[in-house]
Amino acid sequence: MTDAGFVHLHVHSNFSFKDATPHPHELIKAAAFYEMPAVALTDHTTLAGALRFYQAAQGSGVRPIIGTELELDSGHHLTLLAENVNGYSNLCRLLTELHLSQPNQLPQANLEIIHRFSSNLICLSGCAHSQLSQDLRENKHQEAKQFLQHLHESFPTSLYVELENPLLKETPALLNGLAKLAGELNLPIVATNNVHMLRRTDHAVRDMLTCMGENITIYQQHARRHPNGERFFKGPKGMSKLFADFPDAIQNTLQIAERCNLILPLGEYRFPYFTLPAGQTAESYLRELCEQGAKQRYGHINRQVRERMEHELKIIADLGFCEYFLVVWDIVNFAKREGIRCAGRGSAADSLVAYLLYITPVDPIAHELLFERFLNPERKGMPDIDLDFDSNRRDEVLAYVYNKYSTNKVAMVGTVNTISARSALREVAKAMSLPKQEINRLARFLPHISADRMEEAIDNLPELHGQFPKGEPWDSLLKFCQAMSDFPRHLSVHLGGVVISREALTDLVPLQWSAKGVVISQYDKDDIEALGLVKMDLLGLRILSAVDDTLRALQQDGVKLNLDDLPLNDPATYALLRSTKTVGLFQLESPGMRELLGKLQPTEFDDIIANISLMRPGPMQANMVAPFVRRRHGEEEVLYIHPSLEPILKSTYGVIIYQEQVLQVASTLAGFTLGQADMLRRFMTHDRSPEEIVGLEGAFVKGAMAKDVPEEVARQTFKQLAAFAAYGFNKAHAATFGLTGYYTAYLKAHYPAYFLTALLNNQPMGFYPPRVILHEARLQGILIHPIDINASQQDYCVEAGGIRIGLRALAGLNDQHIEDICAARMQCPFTSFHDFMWRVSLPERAVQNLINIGAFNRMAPIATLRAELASYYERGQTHPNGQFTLAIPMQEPKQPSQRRPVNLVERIQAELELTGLYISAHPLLLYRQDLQQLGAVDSHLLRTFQDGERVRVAGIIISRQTPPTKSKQRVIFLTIEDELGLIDVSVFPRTQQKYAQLAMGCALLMIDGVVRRTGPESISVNAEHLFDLRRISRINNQIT
Amino acid sequence: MAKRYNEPIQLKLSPARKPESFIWRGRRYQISGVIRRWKMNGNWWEQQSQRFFALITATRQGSSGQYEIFYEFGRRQWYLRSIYD
Repeated sequence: MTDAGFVHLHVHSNFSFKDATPHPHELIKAAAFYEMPAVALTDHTTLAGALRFYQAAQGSGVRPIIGTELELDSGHHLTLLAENVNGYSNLCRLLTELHLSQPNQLPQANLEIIHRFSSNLICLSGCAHSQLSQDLRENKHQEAKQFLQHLHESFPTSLYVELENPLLKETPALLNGLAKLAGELNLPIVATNNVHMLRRTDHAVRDMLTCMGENITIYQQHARRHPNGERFFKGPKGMSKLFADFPDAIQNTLQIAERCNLILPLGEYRFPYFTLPAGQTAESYLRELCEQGAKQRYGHINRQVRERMEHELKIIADLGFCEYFLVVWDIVNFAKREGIRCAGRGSAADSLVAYLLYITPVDPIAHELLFERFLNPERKGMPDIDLDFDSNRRDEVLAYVYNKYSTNKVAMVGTVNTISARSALREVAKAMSLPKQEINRLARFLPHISADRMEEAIDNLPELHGQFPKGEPWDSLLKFCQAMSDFPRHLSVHLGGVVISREALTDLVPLQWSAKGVVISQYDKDDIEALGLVKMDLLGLRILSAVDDTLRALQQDGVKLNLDDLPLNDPATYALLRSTKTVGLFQLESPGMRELLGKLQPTEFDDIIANISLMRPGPMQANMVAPFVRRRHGEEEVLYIHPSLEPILKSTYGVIIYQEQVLQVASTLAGFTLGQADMLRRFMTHDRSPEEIVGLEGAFVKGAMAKDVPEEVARQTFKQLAAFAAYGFNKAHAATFGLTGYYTAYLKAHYPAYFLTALLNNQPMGFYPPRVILHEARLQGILIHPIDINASQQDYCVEAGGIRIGLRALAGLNDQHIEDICAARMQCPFTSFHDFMWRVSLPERAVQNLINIGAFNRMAPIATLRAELASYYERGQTHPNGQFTLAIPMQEPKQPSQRRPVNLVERIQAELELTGLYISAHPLLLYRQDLQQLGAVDSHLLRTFQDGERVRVAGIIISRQTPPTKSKQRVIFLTIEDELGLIDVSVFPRTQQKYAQLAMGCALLMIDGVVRRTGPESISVNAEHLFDLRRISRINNQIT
Repeated sequence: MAKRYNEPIQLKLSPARKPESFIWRGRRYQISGVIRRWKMNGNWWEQQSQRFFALITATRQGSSGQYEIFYEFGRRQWYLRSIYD
């Protein structure tokens, strides 16, 4: 026992979601500050913060005690602490049971459930919200006694009566009552402070969080709002003073802390159990599968393949990862068997074994991918293989995993959503009762940043200038937002993370429902990894669904394509890429990528890999792009610092782009093993002290000089590596994505209608909304067929070489409506609107939308049908499906008088409103006359302009980006679309000063600027003046 | 029953910092005991500060009574809140 005479045993962190302010690690720090030997974490019905709390305690001298505060079915609180790892497992099981048995509810416990999991748990009878306190307040002495006696049966040697002294008016009487009751039952007492804050001064922030959590304003009363700020992390002296009349209660905190000795089994791998065929070991079976794969992939296993395979298999076996690879293979094999499109992504493609097992699609030998970048024998870390599946069929894969590896050993990984600037702004403002309109105005231009960067954003972003008034209540609003920056907000399901355990998952991990109705771990991916559990990312990738849909549609029309057989040198595919008309292509469609494609002019698959790698924040910040492009086009000499580096860097013109190249350079020049070289790369990736860098440089130079490399060359190379290591991109990842990108380019180049149809059917995905994809189809010369009541299917489909818009695109029609329309149509096509109304029962709104979108245009004009429709519903009559009350007459209603036909403006307006698409024409066509008068050119004409020429353009904004730049200045990259194509626009800081609000908030822009040509197909406009096109057009019409 | 006053008082502490007496409306009350103490935060959004309350027994001219007094941290001032019958 130390001199510190008190341990906090009832403590909440901000993982008690909107109820407490301290981060878990801050609690450890505070305990260390007060020289407490231990400290507990008891968040509300969750262990979500427990692992990081436990890890923060390692080496701090403070013993972490993991517990929870439960809510009983009576609404009262109870505190539980784990004595040891068995107790911890019981906590996990108990919490899981509570959560999973009560979906969509606040999990509550009863004494029976608690009893079942009570072993090795210590029970504190609860805070001021306990059953006990409530009974005593109401003078129900006998009931209080009975409650304690019940608890005592479950915790015969580990029940303590909890005394909390938050200095409220009622407290002294309550403390006396509790102590007296404990005495009567001969139970020990223990002091807690039910900590919700680190400091007293955090009270207002905690109070604000509570209001946000309870969805009330600060002006409303609520039982969970604390009347004072006393529930903070008090020191031993303060606590002893508070409990001067109950010294045992203080003393017993130390006794409990002594009893709690939890050692979690971190750092051990717990791979899932893989059922092996008889007579096989994991190692022998993995080898067998690789041999088979090698024969299939290469036909003949040559020496290079054999040596590489042996090398990798040995490392995998030495690290004990054979079973892990077998499990991944098993999942991929299932997908293959079931025809579910699948591809491994990330550094796993650096592995030949992964390629041979068909986990990854790219040949690592052909593309010089290095195994050590994926799995380093000198740094034992969990391998990380991410798999992409056809998103429409990912659930089948998940179901297989659950079945094969047992439901109690599999769960989706949870992720902690934190409070961001926008969520803080909205929630704090709501609690402060600020007008919603004001908040929308403020949130409109607020970027997606953490809340602690709000002030910086307000100071620096021109679009926010003048938006946030000074003084109250705005200053308080900002202060609160910043104070709760990155606080956990809720748990949700990780995009693709699945944890598969060897033993029952709940031995180590508590589970709960996510809002989406999926069972998730309360721990996030880092916690899961720390526990040695296997986490795999089984991701749904919509582009794989689109590719699959394209191939199936083609097959239906007699074209059978196998992607694995496609040549990687198809001229039409590269011509498409060079043309930069890449909207819809995987990883190759963003404005930046289109510009780079235009500059780089790819001719082979390695160019695609380079494109994908260069268009990343790292290479862009490190200025790798410009020298690469110049050298590629022979505008700059390609130099190698040492001749031995030429084979490594030749493919990238002497520029280090890939992480794999960093490894190769260190290995070739300084004689490092690839494992050591990867360690060097990882080391350089993080901020290091000058001393550490000098030490590394010494080892590098020594190794190089031993290989007769001059010292100066070695030092210069080291400097280059240090500069680029942190920015290089994983070539394996770029290659796997590049392959999918190439497939999409091939499909668009050869079968654009099929491919774009599939894209439209698998939205949302990619960079652009459906209207841009549809317009891209039009620009490709594909006929767009509008929604037609007799021709439109449920989804988009290819019809006579064009694209027919599906009924699902129309607002107001649900699946049942569409099913009814299609079923009626199957019998025979609708012959008239009256026929339709007779045979299909739809709500008036749905029919109205069908009329307004022109679905009956082949039967009658819109204006006529509008009038007719009213007469149907006015009569209140019915047809066989029973929508109305009386039988509808067999005669068609009398033709109403002729109405004004719908004009183009109205049609486009209706299309945008009802489908989000422009079907009849591009909206900019409506402004073209004005734009011609104003001297604006269209996107086609723009291509004839020279570099530096002044130009005026206009369009609809379809993307806004503010990527990191080399200069660290913010550049707004806009893509605008007119009726003939896309125009990329850069808005630099000087222009932003005046026009940032237009650039960030306006939908239709007219832009004056200067043409910038950076390549044969690469043209953009540097904006100087921006105008709201609608406003300009109105003014123009008034003048003329 | 208690009667509310919320009037400033002057509190005198002993050398051991225990409340000894208070003066209200010019009259001295001798504090004989503290029954309980508690703290309440004011409305932080109205810049109200924390208040420290005490229920005490005090005597004046031989007659004893219960008094609720409080210290307002923001104003650094003691007040008589209520007198209990």
